[in-house]
Amino acid sequence: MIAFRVLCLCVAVACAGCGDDALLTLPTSETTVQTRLFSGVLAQKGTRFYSYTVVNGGAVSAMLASLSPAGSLIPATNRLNLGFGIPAGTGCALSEVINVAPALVAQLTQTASPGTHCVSVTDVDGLPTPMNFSVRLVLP
Amino acid sequence: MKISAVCLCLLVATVSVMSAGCGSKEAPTNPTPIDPGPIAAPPAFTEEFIGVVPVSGATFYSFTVTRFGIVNLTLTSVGGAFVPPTVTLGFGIGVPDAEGCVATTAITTSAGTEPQLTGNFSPGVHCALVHDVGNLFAPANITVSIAFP
Repeated sequence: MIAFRVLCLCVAVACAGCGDDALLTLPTSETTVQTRLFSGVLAQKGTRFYSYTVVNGGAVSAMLASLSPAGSLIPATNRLNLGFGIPAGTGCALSEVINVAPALVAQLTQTASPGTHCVSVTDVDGLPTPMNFSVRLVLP
Repeated sequence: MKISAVCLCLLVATVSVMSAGCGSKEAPTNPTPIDPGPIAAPPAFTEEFIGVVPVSGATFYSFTVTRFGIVNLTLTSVGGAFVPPTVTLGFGIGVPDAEGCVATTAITTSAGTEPQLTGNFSPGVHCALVHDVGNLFAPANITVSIAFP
């Protein structure tokens, strides 16, 4: 009798992993992104850059989220160059660049390889005054 | 007599076991070579970084290492008005991050002709950092020689 019970227990344990595959839940690979805020004061005809490291590669996007005269909260609509590149020397050697006005949408997207990259903002048109800026960067 | 026979058997067995490791010598086997790892390439490029270290501030210079190898950093000169050439500054090597250079190795040194920082580094973007450690009373003009593979 005991042997029969042990046999039943073994069969039950052995069959525990069987059954309807539909009930099997596999871990899902969650896509996590991180957001960085690069902000400061951009001088007239000036440039600023921000370095970041991409670990596994993937899509990186940047937006010039806000621009306003230093010491003021009034939004400005001036256009700046927004670019992606690699830190080199004392700057950011750009590989992609666009001229944009502030907007709350991704304005520049790049598929970045693993490594160190940079995003830069440059005043090419000549701001009337130094401006506070914010660039929102989304990393894989 | 019976016990003696048993003892004799045990003795023979023990000697047999102890002798198992002896006997004819086998041909010597060559030692398995140990992987020495990647060979560090010597410096192939040299860049010169000329910059200014503000009082209580820092400056950095980014460079790209394309293959695993030796990087030599030399703070070759420090100068400027009210800046003695023997003043010591913070000197480091690291990785650009945000708006600066995060040093992974750092020392305090004065200018010299021999590399003050050297090491093996993997491919990627690295940076040389020079900063005031509290000795400056005026901005310092600095020159750094960066040799990398």
